[in-house]
Amino acid sequence: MKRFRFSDTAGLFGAIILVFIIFSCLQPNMLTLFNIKNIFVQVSITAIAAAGMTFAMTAGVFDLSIGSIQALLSVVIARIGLQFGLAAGITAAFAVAVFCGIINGVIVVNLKIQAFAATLVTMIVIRGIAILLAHGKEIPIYNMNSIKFFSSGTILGIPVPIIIMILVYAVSFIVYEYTEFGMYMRSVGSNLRASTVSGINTGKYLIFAFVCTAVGTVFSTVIMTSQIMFGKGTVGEDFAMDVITTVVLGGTVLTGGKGNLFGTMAASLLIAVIKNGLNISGVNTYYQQLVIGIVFIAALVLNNGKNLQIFGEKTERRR
Amino acid sequence: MSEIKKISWNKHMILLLLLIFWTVMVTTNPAFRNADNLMNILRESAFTGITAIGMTYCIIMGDFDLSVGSMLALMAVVGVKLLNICNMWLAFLLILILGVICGSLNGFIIAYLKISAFIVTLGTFYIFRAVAYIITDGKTVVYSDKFFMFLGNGTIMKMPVPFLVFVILAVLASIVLRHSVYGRSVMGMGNSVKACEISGINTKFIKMSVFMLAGAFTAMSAILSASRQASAGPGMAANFHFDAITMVVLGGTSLSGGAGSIFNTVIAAVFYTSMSNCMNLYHVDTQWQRIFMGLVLLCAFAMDFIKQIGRDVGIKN
Repeated sequence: MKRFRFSDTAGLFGAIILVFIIFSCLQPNMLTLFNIKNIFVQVSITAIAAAGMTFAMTAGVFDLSIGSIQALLSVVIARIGLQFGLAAGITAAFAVAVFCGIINGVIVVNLKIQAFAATLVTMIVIRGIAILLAHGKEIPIYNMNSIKFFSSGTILGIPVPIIIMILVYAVSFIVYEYTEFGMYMRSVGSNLRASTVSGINTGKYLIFAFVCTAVGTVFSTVIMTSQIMFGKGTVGEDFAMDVITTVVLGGTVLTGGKGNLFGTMAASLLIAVIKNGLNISGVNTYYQQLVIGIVFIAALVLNNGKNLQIFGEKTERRR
Repeated sequence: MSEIKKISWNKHMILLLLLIFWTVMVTTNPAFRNADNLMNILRESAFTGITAIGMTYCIIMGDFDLSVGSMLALMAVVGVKLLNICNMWLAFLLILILGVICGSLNGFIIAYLKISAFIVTLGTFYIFRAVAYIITDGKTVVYSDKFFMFLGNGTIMKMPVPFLVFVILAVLASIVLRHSVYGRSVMGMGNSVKACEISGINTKFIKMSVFMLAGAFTAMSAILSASRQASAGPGMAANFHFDAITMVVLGGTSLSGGAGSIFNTVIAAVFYTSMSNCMNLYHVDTQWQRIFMGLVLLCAFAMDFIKQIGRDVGIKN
């Protein structure tokens, strides 16, 4: 079994440094410590959810609904947090996320609907529920000072979002590389039938894949909510796209079986640097969306080229 | 004998559903019964329905196109901008060409670079929308020529113009699908790409051309939608891909490809529009409507799965 290799991600780091240098030459503001910290805090929201998504895509499934799950969680945190305190809000968010993940998983496993079709449905349904729960309005939580810790607090001078991100990645990395759970996840993704035949409860692992993404989204949502300080049913419209782009750019194979957590993290850094650079240069947000879309397609094409060489006809057969 | 009955029931279930739904609604709700309302349902069904025809081709081939909504917004804003500068028919032609270009962009990446359609069109879903926003700077563009508005709002012999266009396109598409070499190849691709390749069909080109076709149909939807509102905005048609896919799947087109009919898609389009019309009549909240429609799509997916089990059992016996 091939363990993690740094060379898989070297290209991404090269790209990050290149983009960073280009933008720094154009805009000197880019290089300030404040801005670099800012980039890392921005990264954490996408990167944490992307860690969960890496598990899902390793198992060969997708979750389009995480943007809607994020909206639902932000409303849950705001509403329950206001009534029963922050701890209860976050606990409830975990419970809701696990429930959403299980629902997604059960639809895919038991109704045998392709993952993207199933999550296309839950995407619509969950967002509807989120907007209904918030009565179509913003739920401000300006009085809830305790939640600010998650976005602007620091431990030993390091911002809390960065610490959360590092913790999540450390745990995910260990689980992915060194545990039975991670190994079965990869095996389910690389060959579902063979895994079933060899006695793995594949359905269980597919459901876990969806739970992983949903739970990752909880951390992201807590950080995001504490930044914007309100819960709303319409946040995170583009979140699924951002996260999937990140995972694909990071080198996780679309057909499953081979994930790259380190790459995912590097990719989210690259995207954040691009976005931040465009922002500082005063480019319209519409163009940012365009650039991200093009990066996404380019990443697909590049990734696919690499994998075709490795696996030959695999991509064609598994469609 | 029973075998024949079973098959026809499966094939025309959506027609039966529509008849039951209409009978119940017509007898119980006077507002629904109103001729204007019924005509309105037919009219509204055409805007998404025309795209659903293209989508039927995609799904029969075993692929999806998620980018249709963004494509529609892009073509509608470009179309209205063009109408303000040049001749109307030239503008229509240019929009059609733009649709084919957008579709071929999707198709080229999917067919020749061998990436799954769903993920590629997810990417172009964002790209097309972003371009639409960039072109209009986020504003709505307006064009209110009399004949142009007639296309979306007018009637010929009491039938709404968009619905007539919809039916004509559906008949043409159906004939092509059933009785031409091209249509049979598309069907074959849904069953087995490998078998098609071995029997000498240019599978890559067929795949790309189906996405071009989807682009062209979306372009026609875009023209009609823009003409209905006499304007176009970059944020329009946000859940469009979802509606179109629901129509196709409700119409019984198999998700795994290889089987499906344009006629059923047309019926499903009318059925879907009737349901949303009826929920509007009862003042159902938009969010509840969305949730309900999501569940309808889920049921349609599940039905497809159940039918597939039926087929497998049939083969085994």
